[in-house]
Amino acid sequence: MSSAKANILNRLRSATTPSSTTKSDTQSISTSWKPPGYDQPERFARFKEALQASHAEIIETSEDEWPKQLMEIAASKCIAQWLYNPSSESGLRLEQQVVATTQCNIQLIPYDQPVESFKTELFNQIDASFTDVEAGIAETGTLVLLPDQDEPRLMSLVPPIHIALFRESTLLNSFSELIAQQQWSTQGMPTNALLISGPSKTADIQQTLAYGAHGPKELIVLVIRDIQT
Amino acid sequence: MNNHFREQAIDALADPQLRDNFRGAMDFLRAKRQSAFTDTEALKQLRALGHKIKANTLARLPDLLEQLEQNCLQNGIQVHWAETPEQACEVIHNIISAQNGQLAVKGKSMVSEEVGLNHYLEKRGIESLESDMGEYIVQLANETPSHIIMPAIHKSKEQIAHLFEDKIEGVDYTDNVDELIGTGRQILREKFSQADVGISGVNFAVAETGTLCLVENEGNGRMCTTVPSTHIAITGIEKVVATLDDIPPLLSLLTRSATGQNISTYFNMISSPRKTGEKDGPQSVHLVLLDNGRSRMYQDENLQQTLRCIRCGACMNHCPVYSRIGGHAYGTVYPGPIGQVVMPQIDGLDKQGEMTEGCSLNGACGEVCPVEIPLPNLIRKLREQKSAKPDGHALTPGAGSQRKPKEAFAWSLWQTLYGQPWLYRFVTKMATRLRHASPRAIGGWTRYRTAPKPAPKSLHELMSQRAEANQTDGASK
Ligand code: SF4
Repeated sequence: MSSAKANILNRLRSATTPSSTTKSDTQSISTSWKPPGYDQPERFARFKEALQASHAEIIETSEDEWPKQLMEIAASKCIAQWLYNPSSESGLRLEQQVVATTQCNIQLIPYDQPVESFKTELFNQIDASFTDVEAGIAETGTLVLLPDQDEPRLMSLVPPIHIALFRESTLLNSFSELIAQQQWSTQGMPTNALLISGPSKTADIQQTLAYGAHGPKELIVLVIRDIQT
Repeated sequence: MNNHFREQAIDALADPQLRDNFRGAMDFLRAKRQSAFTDTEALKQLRALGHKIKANTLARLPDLLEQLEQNCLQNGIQVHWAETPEQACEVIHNIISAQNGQLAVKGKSMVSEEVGLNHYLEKRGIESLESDMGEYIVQLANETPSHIIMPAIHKSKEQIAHLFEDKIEGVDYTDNVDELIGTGRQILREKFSQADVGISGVNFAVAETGTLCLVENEGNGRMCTTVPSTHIAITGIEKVVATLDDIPPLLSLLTRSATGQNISTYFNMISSPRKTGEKDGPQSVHLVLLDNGRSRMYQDENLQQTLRCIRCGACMNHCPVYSRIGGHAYGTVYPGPIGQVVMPQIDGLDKQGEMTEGCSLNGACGEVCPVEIPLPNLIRKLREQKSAKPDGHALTPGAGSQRKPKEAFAWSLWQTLYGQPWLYRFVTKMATRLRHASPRAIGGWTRYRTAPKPAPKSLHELMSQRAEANQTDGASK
């Protein structure tokens, strides 16, 4: 054991624990907290409102329609180089749609090599990325992404435009609900878990809001309304 | 280094541009916070919960730190312990030089400011570049942050425009904020892709899962912790929390208190370095746990409450003194009320005792603190310690160092006077009768104000006269 560690722990252990805090109720406190719960369709309304308030664009669509809609976005924003995940179902459908839309000039690029050899391209050439979303949080208007080998972490960060495909059926009420649903406390956490609530922004210059500080300037969420109300 | 809080505060008050910049920023941040907490009852409950979570964490601090280390190690995160700033800098320098690192990009971290990391690395030939927009501006200007959440809050956009024009090659003057940010973005992106090492702070370290949580809006924190092949996180030992379930309420308190956001743009949870097959993320992740006086604060039942702080900055935003003099006047890494409590405990009351006087004890900071730290009480406690008899009871270094014999004598007179009713009555009687003889000039008080004169009769006298009059009134009926 390093001496720094031993010294620090010894000093902490030699202190008398203040009487105001008892060890017995440590387990129960946070679970006694009730985060908000919403019923349908209030849940989606809250999610949409909160996410839009943080400057994300929301496009409501359906399982059949979304690839077509994606092409319309691409056309309107002149997206040429497109980072995607060829091994996901939505990536495949994107491929098919690009092939079918003959007049469009889109180049689909998979993130299939380590960042070390991909940096120049990633930082300088890619116009947009397309990813799936693990879940949503209604309370704060948040997308939950769990990057992995097929959809690496930088996909949702480096390209100037991030387009995310979200299914309403994965919408949860709160962050607490997410933690419980994912069973992270017992199963352990993935390498990286991200809560994303809008495009990158800063107010560091005279409190003036500016988007695209370091990450995407635009966050576009395609929402598949797969819940019947 | 002896701090010159008083002189610096006077200088700051004489700078109208600075006062304007702070006034604007503080009004903005207060309004933002208020709009995020519309339900006062819910806020009260949430603050009580935040208090409890952090208090319980502190009660188990040594055990939780060991649990955190164990789980981090299991996840592949290397853990280092540092008792002093020097040790922390050394650990970090060793990690960087072991891989011949030349360039480190940094996310926002007040603890790295606390240990003077940039300076340390720079002296050893390693470029250490701040990448948070505010920190980048401050570093470019060769200054230090004036606020823990908004580091460049003391500058107007025109001042930043001039700074960019002067310091960045090929950049013309523009005070268009989007363009200024665009310039920063372009320069820093280049650096992110070149850097060997990314350095970040930590907002919460979860013992249960060995997870490092980072709160940010810009995405530079994610860049620093993902692009370079090595990620080094540095944090104070008080940032550990027991379970993941503790995170949602604390996060909600933090972002709403700090900037009035229900959540920050990014909440980044890092639990391990890049795994086999993964394409990005650092190959190695290090966590540096810094003590620097924290385990000493822990010894004192009252001052231990300092360690509940989640560094939201709300106390400075609501402090009437900070709003007027700004962060630099304090001359310390942490300014404002939390600074007045933390800094004397880290550097000693002999060096930082004076800053505890920059407080009117109005109580605003304590009322907004999301984890209910009784800041005014702690400031009072430290004032008491700095003037205490040096008997060795107080743990804070430099206790008793600012004891002034005249002041101590005056208070002992006061004590005698108020402890003896006959003496008290006699002296107040003399004071009221001899009111015309009271001094016209009383030191600093009369520099800007007229001297107070005792009333012709004391309140005590007036009240007993009234009681007598009532009695005779009643008797005559
Ligand atoms: S003392 Fe309280 S209000 Fe001040 S920064 Fe810490 S948590 Fe925030």
